[in-house]
Amino acid sequence: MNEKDRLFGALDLEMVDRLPCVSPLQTGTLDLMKASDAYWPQANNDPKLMAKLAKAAHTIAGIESVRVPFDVSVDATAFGALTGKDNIERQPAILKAPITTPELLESASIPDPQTAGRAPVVLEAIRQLAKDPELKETPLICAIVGPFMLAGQLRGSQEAIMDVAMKPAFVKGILEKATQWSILFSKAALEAGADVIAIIDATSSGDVLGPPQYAEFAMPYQKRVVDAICREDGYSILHICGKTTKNMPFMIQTGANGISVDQQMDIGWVKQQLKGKVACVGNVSPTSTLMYKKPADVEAETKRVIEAGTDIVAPGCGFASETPLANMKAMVEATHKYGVR
Amino acid sequence: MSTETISKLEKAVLDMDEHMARTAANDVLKQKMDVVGAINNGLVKGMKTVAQKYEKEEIYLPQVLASANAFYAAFDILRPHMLAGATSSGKKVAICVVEGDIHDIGKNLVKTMIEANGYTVIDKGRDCPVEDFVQTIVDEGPHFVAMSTLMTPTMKSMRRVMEGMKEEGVRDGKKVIIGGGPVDAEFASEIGADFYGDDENEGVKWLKEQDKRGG
Repeated sequence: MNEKDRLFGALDLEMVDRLPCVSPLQTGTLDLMKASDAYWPQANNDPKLMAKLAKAAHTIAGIESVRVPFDVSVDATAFGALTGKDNIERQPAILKAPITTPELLESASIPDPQTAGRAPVVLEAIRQLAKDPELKETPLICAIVGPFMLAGQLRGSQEAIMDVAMKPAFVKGILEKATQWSILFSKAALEAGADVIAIIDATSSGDVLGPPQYAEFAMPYQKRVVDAICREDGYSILHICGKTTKNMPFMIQTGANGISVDQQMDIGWVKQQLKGKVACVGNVSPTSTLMYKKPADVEAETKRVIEAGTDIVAPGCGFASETPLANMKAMVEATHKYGVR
Repeated sequence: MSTETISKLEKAVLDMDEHMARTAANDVLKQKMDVVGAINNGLVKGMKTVAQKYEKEEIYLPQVLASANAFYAAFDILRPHMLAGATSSGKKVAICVVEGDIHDIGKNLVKTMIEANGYTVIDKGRDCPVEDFVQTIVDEGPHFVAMSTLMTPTMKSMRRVMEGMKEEGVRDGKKVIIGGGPVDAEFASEIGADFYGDDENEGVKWLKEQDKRGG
């Protein structure tokens, strides 16, 4: 099986010869920037450099996917959010939320992914990666920000969370526009050549939304995005940070092909919930293990995650920029060693 | 009349009603009521009930933030009228989201609970430069130092604050607590912090325990 067959097979819940080791989360690290001569912050703004750095995760570190972009503010820039403070080891931060009042919501139109914000950079990087002969067998993952997280970026995250309790109609209006954008951007990414859309809806975590709130303010919108991806014959992976235990039944209802959880979750428990329904993706710790420990520790944790039943080996969150290359490689090598079924 | 105003303060927090909170706070001033009593028996009581409900998972973060919002709507009106040192502890806590991160919801929640428990909070906001925060600790001499981050790359800013405190000779005699998604107890001990709090309740509980011990 090649890398695409393996990931698609795992997402289709079919038998694969060995678990895939991919990253639906960001892969830009300082070691890879040096190796590829493509650095942040330029690689966030220049499609050629974005493609170069993304490819390095595969060619240099051995990760069995290529993922763009490296940050989570692309979608917000499409709506006109101002970003900044980015540098070689720091992702752009959103400096000003663009939709803070009902009037601004009313006048906000759904952006065109081909022209708005940094979306065109991502789409062009995907086109270049998709036609790269060296990546013919490598799955191409495009991350989009999920509706609830995007609504928080557009409204101000604390305000959006309060709106759930105080101004539900307003936040639903933002969610509606965010969802329409997510669908357009996902379609454009698939059209450009992406195979998998990773829906990063980090703040719809169980740490933020209780089950009834998740069912009302996150799930229905995520489901619409998943459905749209499915209609375009793309694969979807839903990634949510933090403790997602109580919301897991609703996360399954989104219909995503894969559910990705962070290191706070017991992957064995997650697998039990997802078994036969959704592929389980995760969850080697990006900080305490991948960033701070030695390759032997990474190997041990990867082995543990595999034995606990993950279907797709991946970091629990984006790689921290200081992650040593040797540790990324150790995760891949451990998957080769222990992931044979 | 005054007990009615106090219940109104409590109810405003429980009902997440910012407007009612402001009206009741202004009533406290108009009626020349005991400000500290109104804060403790009205606002703080309400906020503690909210914290308990949150701990029992009867309510979730959106309601807690909305209640905290009402709490501050009143507290900000009443605070200037509090006599210095009139709160139950009076001890100072310096708090910030460390350099590199702009996520401050968790920090704001911790701050609310710390203030609701009678501490004086020096809030250095979010994305606070390491040097600034260390300087604040030097200048203000807080009893407690609290830091949070939600992003993995910024964990190193916590380490740099710890190093900065040592270099400036202000580490001794202060208790340091950290929190936030990517950090844990192991990381806390690695950088020489005293405690890792999993959530605001745990953090405040620890703070009060330290006080009881005379820490």
